[in-house]
Amino acid sequence: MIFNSLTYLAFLLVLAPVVVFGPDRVRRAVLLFGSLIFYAFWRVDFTLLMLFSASVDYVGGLKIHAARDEAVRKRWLVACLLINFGLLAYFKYTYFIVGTAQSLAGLAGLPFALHLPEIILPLGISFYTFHSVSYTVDVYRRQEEPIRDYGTYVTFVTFWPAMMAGPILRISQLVPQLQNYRRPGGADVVRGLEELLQGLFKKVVLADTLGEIVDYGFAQPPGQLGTLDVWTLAFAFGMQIYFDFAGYSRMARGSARVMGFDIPLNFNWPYLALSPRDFWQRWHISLSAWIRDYLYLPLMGSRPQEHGVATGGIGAAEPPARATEARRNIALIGTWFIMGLWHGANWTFALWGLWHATLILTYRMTGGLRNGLPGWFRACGGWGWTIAMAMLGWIYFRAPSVADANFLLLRAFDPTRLRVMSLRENQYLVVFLFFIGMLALGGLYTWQSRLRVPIWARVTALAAANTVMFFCSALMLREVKQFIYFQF
Amino acid sequence: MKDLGSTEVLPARIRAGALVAGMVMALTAMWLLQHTHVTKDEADALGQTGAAEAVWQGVRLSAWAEPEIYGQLFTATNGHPHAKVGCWLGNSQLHTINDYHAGDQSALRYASEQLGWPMLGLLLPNASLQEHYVVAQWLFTQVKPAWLVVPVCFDDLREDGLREGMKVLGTPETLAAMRRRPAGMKLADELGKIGVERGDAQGTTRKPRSWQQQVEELLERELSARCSLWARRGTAQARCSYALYDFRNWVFRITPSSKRNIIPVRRTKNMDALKETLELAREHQVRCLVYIVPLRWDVEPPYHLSQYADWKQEVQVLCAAQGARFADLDRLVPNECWGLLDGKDIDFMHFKHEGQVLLGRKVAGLLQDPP
Repeated sequence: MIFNSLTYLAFLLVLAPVVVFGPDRVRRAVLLFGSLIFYAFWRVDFTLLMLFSASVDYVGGLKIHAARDEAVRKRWLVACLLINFGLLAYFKYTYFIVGTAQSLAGLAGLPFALHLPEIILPLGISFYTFHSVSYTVDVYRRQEEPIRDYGTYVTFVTFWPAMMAGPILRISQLVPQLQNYRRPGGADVVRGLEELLQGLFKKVVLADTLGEIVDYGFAQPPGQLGTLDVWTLAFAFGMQIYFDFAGYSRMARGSARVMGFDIPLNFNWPYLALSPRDFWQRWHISLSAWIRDYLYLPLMGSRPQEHGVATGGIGAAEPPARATEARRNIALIGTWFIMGLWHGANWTFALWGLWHATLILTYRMTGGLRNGLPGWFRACGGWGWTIAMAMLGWIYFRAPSVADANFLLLRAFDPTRLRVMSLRENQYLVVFLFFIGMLALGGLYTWQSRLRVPIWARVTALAAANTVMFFCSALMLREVKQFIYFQF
Repeated sequence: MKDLGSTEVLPARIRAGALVAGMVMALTAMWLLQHTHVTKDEADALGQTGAAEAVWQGVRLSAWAEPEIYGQLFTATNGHPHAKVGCWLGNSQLHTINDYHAGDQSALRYASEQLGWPMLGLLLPNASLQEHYVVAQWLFTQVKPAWLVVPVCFDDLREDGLREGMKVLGTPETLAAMRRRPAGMKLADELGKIGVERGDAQGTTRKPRSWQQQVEELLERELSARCSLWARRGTAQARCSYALYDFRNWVFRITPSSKRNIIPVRRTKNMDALKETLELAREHQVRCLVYIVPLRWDVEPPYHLSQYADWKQEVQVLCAAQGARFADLDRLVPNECWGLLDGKDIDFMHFKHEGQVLLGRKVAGLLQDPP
């Protein structure tokens, strides 16, 4: 089931009151079976796969905890990781691996053909796998106690607000709330409804409008696009994916909140970031925190205890004293390479990851240079550079092939094609206005506490914003545009 | 972490009030949009610009929407694929009449009258030459017309892509035939993708009749049946779009006379589509007339005139190469036969009924008197 649909609104309207007001046993049953039904609305058959994946880690967690021998604990951990990542690899990367092998064999003069069965990528597999794996690893690291109640564990893995596209939850972020349920107060419900409305608006109005421009632009032969076209499309897609995913995350948070659950923030105005490091503390926060704790820090020989789970940022993690500069850099590049591939089984995604690794490394290496600059210049320059580079990086994320992406990237700096404009005038205008609007709103939120605005003006502005969001969302809600991140 | 999207500086009770107020105001705005204005179509019908039908010997000659085309073609040929029929591709110029009076008919009627066989108009508003190409390709899988008439309009070179409704024309035969030529191949891909979500195309496929789809359709149907506000969302959305469009024109001082720039990529795609349309007609041994559409000349047209002249020359050369008949009719309709759109704005595309008569007879004459 997807959030931007009448079906979901009806689903939430029926189930949320039962969760809030029902007795404990009913609430637990509704959360568990509601999550399974939520998933089954996409496909019933793959619900079993999700249950299997969760069950593996449930059993694994108990076995790891019960084992006294370190080798046995490790064997259980490896078995769980192999099964989970094996499923992920099969469903997500089989075509990619075989395709790459075929290309390499072809280059070596040993071509081969392999007919693969149709493999359907189960929605949300990357997310629920990460939910589940983090649990097993945390139990192995003795950072968490195993969950003995199967229902609670499956609810944690399949919790419907976060199942399809995050935020990626840790055991400590949800299970205590499931075990010691606290009914939402009026403020929670209001805040939850606000977040649902904001998320719906971001998705159906902003992201889908930009999506039409992006789909059109990237479907054109790259050679026919001009310099301004490439920048426009990069910014358009950067905003589309932000509104799309942040919209989803906000609806997820709103859905959880109206039922009395608090799940972490996943986006925090990333395009206001003043550096690449800052960007990754604001963009897909739960993923970058996960990657930091379960991949980057272990690669550097460190443990994640000192970092809060709710804050993202790979570049921000402090390395252990014994980690050399080279090890840090290799860990960073390796992490970003995997992070890129996590987003999609294509070399374009791997290059997108490496693009960000390069940005962070460059940022690290130029620290001395920056320190000599005036503060305001550092902030403005940092913002401009970060947003431009982040937006250009999206070309790798969206272009259909590496060749196309490379071509477009070069075209972005081709002064001879400045006057070639291949989009309609309106399309440039829409992208520009959305960008200005996003910055203005971001600035307003950032500095709202410093603004001396009378309360009546705040209330009027809020009511006007709600009117616009409700009006536009009601007009543009239609069946059924998937979220971009579902495919990951 | 502090949520910068938060408005929690205000008390919850006030925020709840703002939510309710927002909802009420939004619903009121939707209601007002649906009830206090007339739609553009209604305005056309009531005002000075009208949408004209064309009927000849009981056959309705013009189809404006994609699914209609099937039915119209069937009626026109009486279900017989070899019946004599001419097919006139086109845009709103062939169904929109300024200074409209009840009973006015479009050029299709006058052409059919003169020819003695039905001239069927397959008319899509703001159609691009790419869309004409798809319609022509589909057409040739259904019938062999005596003539194919292709009006070419400089404005239409700015259009691109295929509208959603064209999906119905994407039959396996049409798609297979289109894939035999380069421009057709791209259009066939585009046609095949209409209605397919990006996520679905990458493998995250829902089953054809997933629970989500079934429930969504049910809810949509029930809600529309019980709530006119919901059912007429499209009307409100269209009015909003028009309002935004007018607002943009006001801000940037865009008028109907403002010069319209060529968009190179779109121009190339449309001209490629025209070339393949003519090749297609030739392959099917269907005679083809390409004409430059009538244009208003009492005020300077909204084109860069040198670009316009070059383009006409290019079309003429293309027609000569493909054995199609070419006619430059841009000065066919005299100044007095043009009018104002809705009685207000100067209109470079649509003319009065007299213009339709002139156009219909001129085209019929060209078909009767090939060089």
